[in-house]
Amino acid sequence: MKTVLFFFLFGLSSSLLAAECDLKHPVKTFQPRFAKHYAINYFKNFKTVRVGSSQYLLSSNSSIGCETSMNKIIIPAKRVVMMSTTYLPTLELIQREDTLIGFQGKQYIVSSSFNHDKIRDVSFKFNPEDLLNLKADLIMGYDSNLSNPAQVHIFKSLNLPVVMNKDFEETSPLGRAEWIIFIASFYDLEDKAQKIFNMISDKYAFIKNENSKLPKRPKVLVGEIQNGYWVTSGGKSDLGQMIADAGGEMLFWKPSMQTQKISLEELSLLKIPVDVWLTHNTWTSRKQLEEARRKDSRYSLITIKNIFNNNSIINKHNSNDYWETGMQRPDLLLQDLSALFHPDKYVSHKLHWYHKL
Amino acid sequence: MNFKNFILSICVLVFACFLLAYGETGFNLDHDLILQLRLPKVVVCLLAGGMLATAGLLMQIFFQNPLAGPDILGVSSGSSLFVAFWMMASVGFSQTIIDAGMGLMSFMGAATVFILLIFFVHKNVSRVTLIIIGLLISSFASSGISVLVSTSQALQLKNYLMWSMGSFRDVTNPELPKFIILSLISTLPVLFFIKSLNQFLLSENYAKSMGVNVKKMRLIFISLAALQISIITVFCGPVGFIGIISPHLAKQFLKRSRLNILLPAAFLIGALLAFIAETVLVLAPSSSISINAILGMIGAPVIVLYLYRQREWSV
Repeated sequence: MKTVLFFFLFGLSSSLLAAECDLKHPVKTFQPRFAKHYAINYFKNFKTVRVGSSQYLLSSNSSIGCETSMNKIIIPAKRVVMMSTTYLPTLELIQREDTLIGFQGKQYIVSSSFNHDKIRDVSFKFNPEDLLNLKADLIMGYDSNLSNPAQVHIFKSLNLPVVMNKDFEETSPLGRAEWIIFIASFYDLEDKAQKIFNMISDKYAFIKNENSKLPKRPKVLVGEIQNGYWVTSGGKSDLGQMIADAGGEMLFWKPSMQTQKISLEELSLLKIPVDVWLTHNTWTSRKQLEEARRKDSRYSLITIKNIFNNNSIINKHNSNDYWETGMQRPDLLLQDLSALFHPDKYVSHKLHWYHKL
Repeated sequence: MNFKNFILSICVLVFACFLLAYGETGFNLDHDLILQLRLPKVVVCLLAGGMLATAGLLMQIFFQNPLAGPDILGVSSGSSLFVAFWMMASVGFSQTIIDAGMGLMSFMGAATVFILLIFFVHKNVSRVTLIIIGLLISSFASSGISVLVSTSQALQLKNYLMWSMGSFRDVTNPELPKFIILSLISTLPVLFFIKSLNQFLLSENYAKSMGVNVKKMRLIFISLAALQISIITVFCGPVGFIGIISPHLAKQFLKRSRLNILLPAAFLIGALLAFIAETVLVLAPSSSISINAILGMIGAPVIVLYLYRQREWSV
């Protein structure tokens, strides 16, 4: 009798556990509209997040007994370590700045919302001992931090909550911005993030639509002379796409995401005047620009009407907010670019990152 | 003039004319194009290639080591480390200070490595040991650069990475006279010391027995080679292989080793290699190959071939 009871209870608990951990039948699935490299599956007591080929099981129950090869992350995260400034605007938007306790190169952080004294600098290549010491419940990095499979195996065996973020692999500005929902899922704040993202994408679509009605498309040159070449962005890069969406025509457009090297001879053949030059140099004033142009006579090969740089907001270490907030707020960036290309239409717009040199 | 050197001069002239007339836009004789872009490039190829070869030859004579060269013995790396430090540290300074600092730091880097190498030469280390020391210096410099890179801003990092690829195209017209003058100052004096160099070529003791002031000559050679390498590092970035292979190619071509013939031949072959690399870039404009990648593809097999031929060469 005792044996029968034992097997009955064992069978019951196993089937309950199996029901609790049924990974095949999600209650709900979230597939992002623009981002291509992540998805979220919702189950009764937990959720799973897929990033590329990696999957993570997120649960508020630390004793969840699912037998799975997935890394288990306890949510909502209270102590997080992050490796890229592009993740930080999300923390600000969902108001979880206080959870950041570690960062790779905190001198890069421009936003004043973060308490630098509370944040520990961590090394670019993850150091397991250092991370264990931080007692973080979420460590978010990217491919370069996590490229070694053996290292990933060590993290797993140490139960380090290391998560891969692939926002840099997205092929559109909105795709990258949609990772706000991915990060928010570790705080159980997806709904809030979704509302913010909808606002961003709606605003982006609105500005893009307005710009498409404009008859004039100014000629836009991106980059500067480096190593004897004109180094510019690829036509399919985020900036390339945004220039098109802002109603501009990117010169030397090539169907690539990669940085392009254009020979100066090709540049010299540009007989038309350039309406807007977007330089991403360290120049902050017209004086510095003129000094550089005087020294390098090759800049005189082209005629340029307006020159803008993107370094309006920098911190005391010269880190630029364009690479922090600008990357996660394509709506604001598109607004900036639209105002540069069509000043008559966006008369009242106050530029965020760009300023005229 | 030696007939073979005459042939080399003709080859150099042909390449120079070709690169003046032909560019990424094809055969285009636009006045602005030639003066602003092609002429500086051709002059820099000629002088930088030649100077690298001269510096390589001087080092091979001075260290009595056929594998000595600015890159193998770590001189270029030392110079690069100091320049990298300056590039990362000079944020916010005026352009004039940055430019002056680059030159000074580059020379200091090259000179520091030379002084280290001389110290080891005086301790009678073998030729192979000296090369290992050179490689260790390069490795140390690379580590130092990695540390600097890990603490630098994205833009400085990008600037440094672009610079470190090496280029004969980044000297502008206003900078060109400065580059020419510095190149001549560091190269022409070598011609005055050809007799002493010939004696050094046999051995330092022989030179001493012939009444050469060895200490003084050593200082002159080192200063000239360090100056040449630092000028190239500042204006073109670190450029590899020309320094080490040009003297060997010159010896193979001439089958003679007297310096009054060998030195011009090495200079011309250095220039020729620079022209060849630049021609590849002109003919493949859409590729992102760097000058060092092309020179590496030419240089590494030449060194291997040399080592194979000299396989009796012992430690």
